[in-house]
Amino acid sequence: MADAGFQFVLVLFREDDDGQLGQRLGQLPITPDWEPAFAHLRFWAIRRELRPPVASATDVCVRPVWHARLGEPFLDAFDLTLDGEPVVTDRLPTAYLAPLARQAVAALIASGVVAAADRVRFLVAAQPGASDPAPDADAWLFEDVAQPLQITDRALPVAVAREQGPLGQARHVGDLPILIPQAVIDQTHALSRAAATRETGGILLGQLHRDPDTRTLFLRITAQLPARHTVATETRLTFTEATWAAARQEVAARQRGELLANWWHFHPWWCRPCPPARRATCTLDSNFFSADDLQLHRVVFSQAYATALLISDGPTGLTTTLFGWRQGTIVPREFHVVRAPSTAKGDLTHGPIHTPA
Amino acid sequence: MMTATIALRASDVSGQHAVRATAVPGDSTISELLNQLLAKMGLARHDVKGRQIRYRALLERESRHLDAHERVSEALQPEDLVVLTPNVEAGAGRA
Repeated sequence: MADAGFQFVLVLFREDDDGQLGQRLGQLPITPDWEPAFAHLRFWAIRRELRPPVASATDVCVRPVWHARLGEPFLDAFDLTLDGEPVVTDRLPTAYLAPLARQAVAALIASGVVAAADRVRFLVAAQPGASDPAPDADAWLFEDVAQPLQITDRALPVAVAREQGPLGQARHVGDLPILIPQAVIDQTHALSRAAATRETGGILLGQLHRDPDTRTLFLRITAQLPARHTVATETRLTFTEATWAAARQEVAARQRGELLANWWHFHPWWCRPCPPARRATCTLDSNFFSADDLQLHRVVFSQAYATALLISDGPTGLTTTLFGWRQGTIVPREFHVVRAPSTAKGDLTHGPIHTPA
Repeated sequence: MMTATIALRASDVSGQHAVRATAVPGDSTISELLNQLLAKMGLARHDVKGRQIRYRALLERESRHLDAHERVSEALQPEDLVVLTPNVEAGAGRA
């Protein structure tokens, strides 16, 4: 059982003037979305060759780490443990549940219990009792099908490897190195410029490689497919069922064993029509990953190596930001631009590392 | 009365999350099949605004999306693969 028989509860407090927990506002049982954190742990083990490259399985257990000062039933963190040997664990902070806490606070604000200006803090508590009852489908005899991840040997470009260090660690410890050809970025920019005031997007295909010398696992983006059958407006881009069907057809037709695990989209510069004086005080910024973007990434691209490239228009032109999973949470992250075609030996030209602002 | 069942495979869009159901009642509808698969695979049912996310079952053998009211026994063959394809929005959503 994933949650080891615990029901998790969110406990909300008003923050007092000293920044401490103040008035208790209430509590609510929650069903955390563990899958991104589980995916992170499984992929972490694959990267370090502690488990075979097989994606998706029901093999992770969550246990509470009791709060050091407040004690049981409050938590400091969660311990995630992957089945099998050697033991692979990850300590997940309770901040992982911050999105659920924000939803709960929004409900409190809507009901008038707290004001929008109030500061609210949360603790997580655990009670005996499973929070995730099995789906009512036992009679259909479901079984998980292990899907092997295709990982091929390929040298990590020397310049990238030098920055990764011998343990394959990116500048943010643990991030998977990701290489994106300049040509792919150029294509996304050209499509974005053509879309102008409407959103647009597409699919990024990629392959996972392991450097035979350093054993570093990395993702290499191989191509960009403009998303077909989408519905686009100035502030919205709908990827329809037909979009995914077309993308899968294209991937199959290419016959390169590429992963359909990354995407990109474009945010126009919504502030362009506004007068400069208003822009100066406006907090609207197109360079952000919206709640809808997060949702799409979670629904379709929940693999730990899945990324999303965001092209944003603004006063200085187009900017490029990569978002990806880090310990089950979507964050802006670094990537490497490959400026020259690859060779069999993998001695690619190293481009700049893009660090999100 | 016994209901004939068939075995089916299903995956998400990426193909990296897959399940197999070995006893799907032939008289169930595609809508019922989708609901069971979504629950089993832990795929999100609602978007950030609480609206239901629409999924359709893609039968790649025929390159078509199945209609919700079709019967499993009429639309699918044993070991068919159905892909759960969502209708999802990206973007700032301020429209």
